[in-house]
Amino acid sequence: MPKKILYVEDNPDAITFFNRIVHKLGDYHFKTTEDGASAIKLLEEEKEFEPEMILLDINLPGMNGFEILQYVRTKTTYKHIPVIMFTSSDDDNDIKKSYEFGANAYLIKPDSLNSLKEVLSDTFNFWLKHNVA
Amino acid sequence: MFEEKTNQYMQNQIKLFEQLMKEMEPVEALINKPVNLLSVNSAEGAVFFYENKMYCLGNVPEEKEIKELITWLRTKEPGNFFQTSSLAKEFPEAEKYADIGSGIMIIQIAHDRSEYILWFKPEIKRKVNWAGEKNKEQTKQEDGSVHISPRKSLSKWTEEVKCTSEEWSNTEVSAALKLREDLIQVINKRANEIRKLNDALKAAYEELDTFSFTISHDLRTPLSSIKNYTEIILEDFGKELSPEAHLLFMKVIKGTDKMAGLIKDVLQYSRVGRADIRKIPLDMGKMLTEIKEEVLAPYGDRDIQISIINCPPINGDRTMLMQLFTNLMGNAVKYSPRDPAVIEINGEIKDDFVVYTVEDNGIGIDMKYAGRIFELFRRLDNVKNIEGTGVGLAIAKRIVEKHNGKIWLESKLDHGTKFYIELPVKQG
Repeated sequence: MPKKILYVEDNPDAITFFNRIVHKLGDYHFKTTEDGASAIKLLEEEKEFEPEMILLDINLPGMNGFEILQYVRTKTTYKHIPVIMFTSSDDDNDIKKSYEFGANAYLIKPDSLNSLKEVLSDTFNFWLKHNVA
Repeated sequence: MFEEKTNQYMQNQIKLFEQLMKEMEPVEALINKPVNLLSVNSAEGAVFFYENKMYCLGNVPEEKEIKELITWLRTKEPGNFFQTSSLAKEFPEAEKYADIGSGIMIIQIAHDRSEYILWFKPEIKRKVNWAGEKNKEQTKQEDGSVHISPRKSLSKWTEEVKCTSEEWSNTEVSAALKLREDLIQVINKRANEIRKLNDALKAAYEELDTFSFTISHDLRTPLSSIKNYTEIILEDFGKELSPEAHLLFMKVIKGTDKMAGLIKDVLQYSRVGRADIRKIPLDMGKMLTEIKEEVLAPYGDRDIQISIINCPPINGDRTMLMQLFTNLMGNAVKYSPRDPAVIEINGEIKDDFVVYTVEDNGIGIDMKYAGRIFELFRRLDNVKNIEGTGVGLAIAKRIVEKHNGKIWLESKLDHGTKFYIELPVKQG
């Protein structure tokens, strides 16, 4: 079974790069939504797609990444899902806030595709394996 | 005659008020004009203490004497106003300058500050006609029935008026008190205007920081798209590209990297401006050793000696001080291209301050431009060939200023540079 990943990201370029890398990394099934409302809709309505990991951008139209994170953490159904903040911000406050709200990891988007590949590969290996066990 | 003078004083007092309102600069309005502090009474000398400076008009005692007088007055008179026509009677030291200031009138402008106006009137004997008939009569009255010669009576009177000035008239007192009110009004108005200006300036700075923060943030995403698409072109179509095209795309990537570095620095700079400072006692030895390792990491093949000597603790914001010393130590390494690079970091407690120095044997800074090197984006000619964004020292200065400290340097071209950072030891 491919591992399911939900990625909330409003920048189509970022999704293009993500796409390109993820299919080289292994058997993953991922869906993207471009804002918090549609992410929540997907979680609530598409029960057959229960993600094993959620990647959240922070700056999003409507709900921001923190708000989506808080929502996920308050729902018992999703509490156990690893949530990884995935953003270009290296602001200390953003990092602090993310962990306070219960993020499992904070990933700064590297600006080269090679680094992005490494970072994503490490993240998937670590969090998805843990989740399975 | 008397009435004429009184009217003149009152008119001048109004004129002073007008000058104050117009100039908004008390010294300009009260001292440097034809109608000035000496125009509202018959005093022959006036002193204006304002913003820790002393401004004099006419005949006044020595500065030292005036200061002693004020010290005495502080212990004696807690009020805003004091006047006497025989100062030496109460304050014997004043006898020395009786010819200048036998009579004084003082107004204190603000309780919490040492701001005063003093007027001095000379001893009366210089001013009156000794042989005046009227005076003889007065002496007689005081002496009662005793028969005295005019000459004797004159000497008696001189004795009496010694160290005494002409009285301060009601008009003079009232003009002084009115002036005090006017001055307070103007000073408060001025303070308010300065405060408003300050607030506006602060808001503008904050806006600028927010602006640079947002814009830098927003620039990052498209910039990384440019880079990543270029990478994809090279990866997917590299074989079809001519070597020239390949080279050009590499230059695009290099350019985006440079810009990304600049954006990162500007973000850091505005972040320091926006951030609240959280001071804690910091173990500097530990911090500096960590920074040393980090700074040295990219220079594996070089002979760089960094010695960390004394490291007194600093009360400061951890993130900010990490950044400060990373920038300074990083610069020391970066701008010391000759092996061995010898860098020394040392700290010392001096009274209420801790002074850290970061010294290198690098290319140095032309001290002609020493005042400008902390400006944003400022890079000097002799570092053209060394990569940099011109933000590092601007950040360093901001951090030091956030800690109410000072940063300065000594340098000699081609010999090296020594940076000094002075921070207050006490918290707050």
